[in-house]
Amino acid sequence: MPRTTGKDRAKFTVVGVSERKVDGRALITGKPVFAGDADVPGALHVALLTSPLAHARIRRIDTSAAEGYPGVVCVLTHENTPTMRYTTAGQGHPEPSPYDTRMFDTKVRFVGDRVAAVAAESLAAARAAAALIAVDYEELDPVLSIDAALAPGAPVIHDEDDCVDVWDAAHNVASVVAARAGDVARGIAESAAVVETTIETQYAQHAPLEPHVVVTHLDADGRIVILSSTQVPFHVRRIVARLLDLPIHRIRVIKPRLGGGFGVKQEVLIEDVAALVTLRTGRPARFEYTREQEFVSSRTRHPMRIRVRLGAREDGTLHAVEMDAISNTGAYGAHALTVMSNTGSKTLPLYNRAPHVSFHGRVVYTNLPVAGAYRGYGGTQGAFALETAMDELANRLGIDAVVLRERNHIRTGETSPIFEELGEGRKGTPQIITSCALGECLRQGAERFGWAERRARHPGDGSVRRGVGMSAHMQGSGIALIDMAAATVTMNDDGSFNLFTGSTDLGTGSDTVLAQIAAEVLGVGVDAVLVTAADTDLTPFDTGAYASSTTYVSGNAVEAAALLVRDQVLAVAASMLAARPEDLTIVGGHIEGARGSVSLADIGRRSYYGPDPGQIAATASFVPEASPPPFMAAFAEVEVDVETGLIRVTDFLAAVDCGTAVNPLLAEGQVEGAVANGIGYALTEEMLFTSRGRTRNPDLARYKIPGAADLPPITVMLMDSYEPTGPMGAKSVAEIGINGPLPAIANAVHHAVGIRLTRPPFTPEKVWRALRTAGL
Amino acid sequence: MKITLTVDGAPRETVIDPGESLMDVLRREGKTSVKNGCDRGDCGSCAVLVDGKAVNACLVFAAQIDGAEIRTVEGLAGPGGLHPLQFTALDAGAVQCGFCTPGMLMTALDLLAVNPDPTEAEVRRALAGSYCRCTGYVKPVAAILAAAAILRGDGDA
Amino acid sequence: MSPRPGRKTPPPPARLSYSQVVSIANVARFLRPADLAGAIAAVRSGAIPVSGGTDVMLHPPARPTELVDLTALPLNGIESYEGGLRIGATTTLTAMLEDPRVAAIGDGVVTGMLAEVGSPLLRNRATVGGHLARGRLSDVIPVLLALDATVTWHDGNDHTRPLAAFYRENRHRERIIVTAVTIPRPSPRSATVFRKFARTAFDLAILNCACRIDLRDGRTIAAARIVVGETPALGASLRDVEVHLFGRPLSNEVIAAGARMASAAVPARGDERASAGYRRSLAGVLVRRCLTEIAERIS
Repeated sequence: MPRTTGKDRAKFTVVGVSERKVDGRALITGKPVFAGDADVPGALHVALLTSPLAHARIRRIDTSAAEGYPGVVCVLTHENTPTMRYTTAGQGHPEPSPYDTRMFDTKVRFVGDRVAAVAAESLAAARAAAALIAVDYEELDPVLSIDAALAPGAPVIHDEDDCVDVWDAAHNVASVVAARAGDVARGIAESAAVVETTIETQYAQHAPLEPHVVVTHLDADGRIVILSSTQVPFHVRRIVARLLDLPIHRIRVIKPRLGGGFGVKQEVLIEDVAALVTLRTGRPARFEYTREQEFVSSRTRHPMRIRVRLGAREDGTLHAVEMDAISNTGAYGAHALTVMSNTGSKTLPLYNRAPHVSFHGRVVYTNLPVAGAYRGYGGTQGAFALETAMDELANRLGIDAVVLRERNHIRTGETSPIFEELGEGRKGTPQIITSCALGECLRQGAERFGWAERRARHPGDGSVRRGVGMSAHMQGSGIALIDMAAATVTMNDDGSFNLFTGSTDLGTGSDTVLAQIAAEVLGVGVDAVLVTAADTDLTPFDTGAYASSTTYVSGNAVEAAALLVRDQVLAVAASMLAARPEDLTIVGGHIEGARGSVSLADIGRRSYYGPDPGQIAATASFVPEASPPPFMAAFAEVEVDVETGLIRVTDFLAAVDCGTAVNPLLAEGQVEGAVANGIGYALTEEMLFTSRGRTRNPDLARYKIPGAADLPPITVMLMDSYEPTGPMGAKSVAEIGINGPLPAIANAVHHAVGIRLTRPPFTPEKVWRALRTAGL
Repeated sequence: MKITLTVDGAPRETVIDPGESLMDVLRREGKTSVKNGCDRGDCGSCAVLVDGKAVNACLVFAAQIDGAEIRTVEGLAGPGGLHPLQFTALDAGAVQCGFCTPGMLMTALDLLAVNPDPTEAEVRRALAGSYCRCTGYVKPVAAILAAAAILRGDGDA
Repeated sequence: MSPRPGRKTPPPPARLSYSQVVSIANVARFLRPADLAGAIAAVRSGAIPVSGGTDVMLHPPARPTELVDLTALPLNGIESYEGGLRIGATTTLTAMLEDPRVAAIGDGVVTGMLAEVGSPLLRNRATVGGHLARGRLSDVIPVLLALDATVTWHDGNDHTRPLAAFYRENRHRERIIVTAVTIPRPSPRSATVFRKFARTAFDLAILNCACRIDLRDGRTIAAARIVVGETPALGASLRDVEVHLFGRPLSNEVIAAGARMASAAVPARGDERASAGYRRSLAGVLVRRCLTEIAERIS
C-alpha cells in the first residue's frame, strides 16, 4: 500500500474525525492515573533544601541534626553524591547544552538552587529535618541581569574547571550562535526603507496545574523503576543511568497520565534524586514539587533582548533581515544554545525573499531561576521581535500588514538559507517547504476576522480606544535528522491491535492521534487500537514530546509500522481467500476479496492458534529528513483604556496550517490553549525578583495566568492543507499557537493608541506610563 | 479527633488532626481525584462539593465539617452512566491533561444547581477560581453549556 | 524548607504514598460551643474564632492554638427590617450574593461588588463576619463604609458601632466575635457605585472605590461618601473630597474637581502590583467614573 496523498483524504474514516480521547474516560471519572496518585506502600518522601542566596559557595554543611531527626532515612548533599557534570536538558545524546550542573554542587547559583535532599518516612519529617541542616555559606556578589552578566569584572557564575561546552565561562557566556547569508550591511544600504526595533521579554513560567512529581521503587529484580511526570522518559533513563553509574538496562522509566508540561517537564529535574534515594535505601521514594518550587526551582522561559533591523524595497519586499539576540538562561545552561538557535531558525525562514540575512545570538548566565524549554522555544520571543519590526515597516511604507506578509512569506517549493545555516545548536538541515497554506491563513483569517473593516475603523477618541493587529508565524515539526521515533504494532486474536509508542502524551491527546493514524491504516475503529506509551521497558524509542514532534515524527513511525502489519494481515488473508493481497480491501473489520471475506478476528485467532500460527507484528523507525513547519496568521482586537492603561483583548483569531488535522477538536484545543497562554504572556505574566534575586511572586495568586473570564472569544480556523511527508498529510500543531498573541496584541495596541509596546507583560501601569510619555 | 463524612454516598469515619485540610483527609481516604495544584486555594484543582457548595478543599478545616456530605468527581457517574457534565466534556474535546477537570466539573455542578440556564459569561465567571493551562477554557465552557441544556431537557442526550 | 509559619508537623500518616500531608495548621483543638457565651469565653482565653476558615487556613497561628467554630451559633442569615438589612456574621458571601434583598440595596451595588470578590469557590466559604473581622485588603469594606454600615460584636456584651469607628478604634484586633453587620437602606434620592480595578477577574484590587451621593431637592449634594480601598488603608474615606462635594450640584466640573482632589488626597502606597503614583492616578479616574455614573443615575 503506497503512502496516502491529498486525494485520499476524502476516504479517511478515522483520521480527520474528532474521536474521543483514549484516556478521556479515566480522566473524566477521576481515576488515579497520574504519577502523584500512585500507591507505593512504604515510600519515603523527599524534601529539598534550597539556597536562600543567589550566589554563594558552601563552605560547610552539617547534616547531623537532620540525619538524627525521627523518621529520616537518607540525606543527600554534595558530600555523598556523584560529582560529574551533566545537563538536565531532556535532549538526545550528545545533548547540545552545556554540562554545567552537578546533582548537588559546592556552589549555589540562584535562590532556589539545590543544597540538600532529605528522605524520610513522612514529608513533614523530611521538611522539618531539611530545615535543621546547617549550611555555612560564603556569600558572593550576585549577577541579576543580562547587563550585569556582561559587565566587565562581573562575578563568574561558572568558575568550576570541569564544565563542558560553555562558550566563555569567564564572561558568563553560556552559548553563542550565529548564521548568515549574503551581506546584511550591503543589503541594508541598498534598501529603500529601514526599520529597527528592540524588544525585551520577561521571565515567565509554564505553571502546569500538576507540579513535577516522581515515584521511584525497586522492582522484584532490583531494577529501579521511575514513574515520572516527564516529557522525555528515554532521556531520563539515559541521564539517570549515567549519574548513578548504572547500566541503562537496570532502569525503567514510565510516564503515566501527565498534568500538563509545556516544556517544563523536558528536563531531568527530580528523577535523579528520587532514584538515588531508592538506590541507597532500597525503599520507594516520592518527590513532588510544591507550587513555589515549581515556579522557582524548575524551569522558565528565557528572557530575551532582541534587536531586529529590516531593510526593504519600496513595495515592501524584504531585502535584508538582521536579528541580534541576547538571552538570559539563568544559573544553568539547559536548552541555552538550542532555544537561541530556534529564535532565529523558527522565524527568519518565514520571510525568505531577503537574500541578506544575519542572526547572532548570545546566551548569558545570571544568578536567577533557570530557563529551559517552553512551548515556542525561542520562536516565541523571536517572532515578537520580527513581527513588531514588520508592523513598523508596514506602517512606514503605508502597506497593509496582511499584504506585507503576503508579499514576503515563503511558499511551497521554496527554501531559505537559514534552514541549513541554523540548526539545533549546530548546522541545520536544508529543506524545501513541501506544504504551506499560509497564504490561505492570511486570506481566510483576514476575511473571517473582518480585518480590512476593523483596520479602517477609527480607534475612537474617548477613554477607550479600539485597534486591531496581526502577525504571521511558522514553527517546525520535530528536529530533522536528529529526532528518531519508533513504533511497534501487534495483532490480537480478536482482530484488535496493540500500538506501542515511546512518545509522551502530556495531555495533548497524542496517544489518541497516533491511535487514529494506526486505525486508519489498519482499517479499524480507534477503539480497536490499544495504546501503550512511554514505558522504556515496553515501548520502542522515541525522543519524547518536544519540538512539536509527536504527530509528525512519531506519527510517521506509527504509520510505517501499521503499514507493515497491514501487509502481513493481507498476506494471511490472501492465502485464506486464495487471492492476491493487492486485490483485497479492508472494510469494517473484514477483508474482502472476490471470493469471499474473512474477519480480522479470524486472522488474529489464526495467527495465535493456527493453522500456520505466527505473531503478526512489526516495528518501524522514522527519522525525519525535514521539519515541515506549521504556519499561522494571528489576528487580535484590543480595547485600550487610555486613562488606566488597561488592555482588554476583545477578539482573537488564529488561522493555522497544520496539514491534515488528525483530530480536529484536539488540534483546535492545542491552539486555543496556546493562545490563552500567549495572552497571559503578553498581558499579565511575569516573575518578579528582589534586589537579592529572590522570586517575589512564586504562587498563582501573584503570578497571574488567564482565567476563563479574562479571555476573549478565541476562533481557530484549520486550513485545508496536506503535507506529503507527514502521516496522512499531517504536520504538528502543539507550539505555534503561543507565538501569536504577543505580537498581534502589541500591533493592535499600536493601531489603537499609536504607542509601540516592546516589553511584555503589558500591565496597565506600564501602558499608562507609555501613554503619559507619549503625551496622551 | 474523629469525624464522619459522607463521601460520594459512602459514610467514612476517620481520625483527623484538628488542623488538617479536607483535601489532605480526602486524599488519605483514597480520593485521589482531589488534586493538589497549589495548596492555597488559588487554582481550584481541589474543588469538591461540601453540602452542595463547591469549595477549595485545601482551605477547609475537616474538623469543621463533621457530618457533611462531600461529593467528588469520582461519584459523579451514576448507574446509568456518565453525568452529562462528563460526557459533554469528552465529546467537546474539553479534557486535555485532565488535572484541572475534577475540580472544574464539581464547580460547574454547583453552578448548574443554582443557575440551570447560565449564559456563557456566567459560566466563565463561575470558573474564575478554576484554572486550566491546557484548553484556554474554550471547550470546557462549551461543554458546560451543552450539559446545562441536557439537564434542562433542551438538548439531545 | 521548614513548615510554613503557623503550621506544625503531624504524626506519621497512613503508609499511602499518594497521601502526603505536609504540615497542618497549628490547631490544638477545635471547639464547637453551643452558645455565644461559650464562644466568647474561649475567644477571651486566646482561641481564634473561625467561620469559613479560609483565612486562618492560609495564615494559621504561630503556636498551637484552639479554634472556635462559630458556624454552630445562630449567626447565620439575613433579616430585613424597616431601615435596611441585618446580616448575620456567619452568612457566606455567596448567600449574600444570591439574596434578592441584598440586590435591592443601592440598586445592587453590594451584589455587584460581591460578584467581583475572590472566586465562587472562595465565596462559598468566606463569611461577611470573618471578612470584617480580618480587616485586611477588601472590596467589601469600602462599599459598607460608603453605605454607613454598622457592625455588631460581642465581647461579653453586645456593641454596635459604625464600621469606620470599628476600625478606627481597632476593635477588630481585640478578642471579640463579630455577630452581625447592618446595612441601612440608602435614601431613594441617592446612588452608590463601586468600581474595582484589578489585573484579572480573580485578583485583589490594585485599587477599588465606593462612592455614594445623596441629593437634596434632586440637585444639591446632601451627603457624599468617597471611599478608596487597597491603598493600604482598609478603605480610606476621602474627607476632603466629601467636604468639597457637600452642598454642590453633581456637575461635570464638580466631579472633575473632586476627582483631582481624590488623586491628591488618597493615601497610596507602592508595592509589587502597582506604584503609588499609578494608584493616585487610578484613584482620580475611579472616583470620576463612579461619580459620573451616579450623576447619570439620579438625574
